[in-house]
Amino acid sequence: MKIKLGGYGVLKNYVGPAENGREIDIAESKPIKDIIKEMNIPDGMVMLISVNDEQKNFDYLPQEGDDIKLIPPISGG
Amino acid sequence: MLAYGGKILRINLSKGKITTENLSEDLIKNYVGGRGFAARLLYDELKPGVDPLSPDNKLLIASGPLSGLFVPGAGKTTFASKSPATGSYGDSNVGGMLAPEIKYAGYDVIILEGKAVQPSYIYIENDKVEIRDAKKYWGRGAITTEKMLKEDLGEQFQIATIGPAGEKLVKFACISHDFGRQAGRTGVGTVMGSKNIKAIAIRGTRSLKMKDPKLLKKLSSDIIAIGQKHPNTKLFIEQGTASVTNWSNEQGAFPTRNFQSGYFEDHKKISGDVMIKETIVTNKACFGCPMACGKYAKTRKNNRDYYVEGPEYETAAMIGGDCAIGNIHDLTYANWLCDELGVDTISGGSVIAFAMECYEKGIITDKDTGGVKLKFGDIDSFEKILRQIVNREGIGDLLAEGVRVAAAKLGQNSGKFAMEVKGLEISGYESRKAPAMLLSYMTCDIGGHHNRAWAITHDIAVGRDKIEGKAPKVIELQHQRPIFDMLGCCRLQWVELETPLDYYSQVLTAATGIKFTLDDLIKASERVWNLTRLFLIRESKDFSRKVDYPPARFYEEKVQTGPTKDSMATKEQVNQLLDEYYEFRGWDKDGRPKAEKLKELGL
Ligand code: SF4
Repeated sequence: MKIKLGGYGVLKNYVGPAENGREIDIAESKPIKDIIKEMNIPDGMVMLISVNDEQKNFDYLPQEGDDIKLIPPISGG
Repeated sequence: MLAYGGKILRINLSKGKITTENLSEDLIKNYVGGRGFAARLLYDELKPGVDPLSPDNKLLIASGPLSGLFVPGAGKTTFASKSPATGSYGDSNVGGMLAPEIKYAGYDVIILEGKAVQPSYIYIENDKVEIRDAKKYWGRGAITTEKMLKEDLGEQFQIATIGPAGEKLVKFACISHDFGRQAGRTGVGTVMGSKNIKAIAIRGTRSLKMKDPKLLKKLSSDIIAIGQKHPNTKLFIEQGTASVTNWSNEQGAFPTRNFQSGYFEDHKKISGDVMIKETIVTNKACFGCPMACGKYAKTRKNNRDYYVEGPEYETAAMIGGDCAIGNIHDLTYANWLCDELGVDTISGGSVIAFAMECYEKGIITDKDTGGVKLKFGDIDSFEKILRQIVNREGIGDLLAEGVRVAAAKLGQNSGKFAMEVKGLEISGYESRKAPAMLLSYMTCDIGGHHNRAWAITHDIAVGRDKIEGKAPKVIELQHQRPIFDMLGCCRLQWVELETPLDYYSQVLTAATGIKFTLDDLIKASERVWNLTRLFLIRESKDFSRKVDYPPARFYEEKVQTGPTKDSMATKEQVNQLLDEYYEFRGWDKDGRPKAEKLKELGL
């Protein structure tokens, strides 16, 4: 199953830029938090997940063709 | 002097004398504007050792070269003085519309010196500058005063005002503007109150000339376009800074019960998504900003509606978590109370959280509080103590001095949990398991504040237990972020929406016709950082690295609950962080800039 994955801010260092999400192949659907782990992104670096421009939670199971963007925390003022 | 107002307006309140001076090119090239101008002028003009609340102190109101131009969020104003909280250089900035109006009136900096003989306000309409009687407004709340002045003078005047806290010289009084934005930190409102100045009302009708307006418009349009594509724009418009509340708790970084913990069990009741459902009425933006992150909210209490901008993340952290007020309506009401009374919600929250812990431990008793049972989570006792502080009644008179002074007087080891650095209460991040964030607080030039270097994501990225290697990142941020306080515009378009930083040097060059590179701006920012350090050294009796130590709670006590439970920094780690920091800064072992560093910076 193919999905597109990219990130904003510091997360670009792990998954490339969101505007130009890289295609990845996953054998079977698994919660997005597992994919984040596999990408070696430290716990807490992802604040929000956008899938096809809709906010999803960390348990979301990606579907074929999803455009997934990872958003780091904002600085709170 | 393109893009600048071109003049410093000096108002001597004691003599009633009003003069103007031209800006010097040297000041522009080396200090850019805003915080840069303020730091240089205060360092040069204040005699060492002046009492911050004496007529000898000065209050500076500074715009930046981008303020009032076609640049997103170009409405930031810096208020600066010798701080009554820290006894050293202090500044605080506020968004809204004030800085553009200062520029349109023909000024870059307004200097208030001396002391007015009676409660007064400053009236500025271009060249017409008057010190006017403010009896009618004295004693009134900050929001109320702003409304009254707008009714009296006209909607087009921009107003900055203090509340009763500033009048009563509460050490953490803020200056309010635009019905809900505050220059909250370092007691700038206290200094304004000490000068008998209730408000500043300003109206300017001049236009600003730029070197290359077409290029500036193109660059600014690019900045807007970059932002519009970024998902954080939507997030900020929906929830503002409160969108980070849940994340902060998940990281165990949310100050709770006077920093005893980093996780507030009721955080989901005060987060941004709850605000959307319960309190937000509309969105508010600063001058020229396409990302209206201000959340104008409404709550109801005792059959009355209260309107307030907020709570922002910092208010949620310092009153929500730190005082354990876990209900969005109570928190919104507490925010309104602080805004109307003119109290900084960060220091105000920290002081009351400290008092709550003292009450819990029997250090403060019913005798001190006049029978108020001061408990974490109790909005009624929060309000009663806040009013005692603002009226300087009972224990409130001592608490009004801030946690450092209060702890020194109360004794019984309370200094250990007086959560301040350099006398300024620490803002909203628990940092025992975030050494870079801890170092940011320790070394921030105005005391315990996060805005110069928000480094907790760096801790998460490179390892939360790692000490080594944290200082260079903190220093990099301490140079980058304050650039915006010099330019007089909002940094969120850069830091949250990923506009490349060098856009701003290009915008500045297009506006002023003076060639500024990004390196020039970073160098200027480093110059200011070292200058404020020299200010601190000049004002300290026995200067040593101890000025940079965090409160003992951070290295003697473990976090009690939540994801960072049992974590603690050690004294050795604190010193290790400082050793590395001083070395990278070119400072000696005590934290004094070395001669070669000063020479390099032209200081
Ligand atoms: S992002 Fe928020 S703080 Fe910055 S200019 Fe816009 S409204 Fe003001």
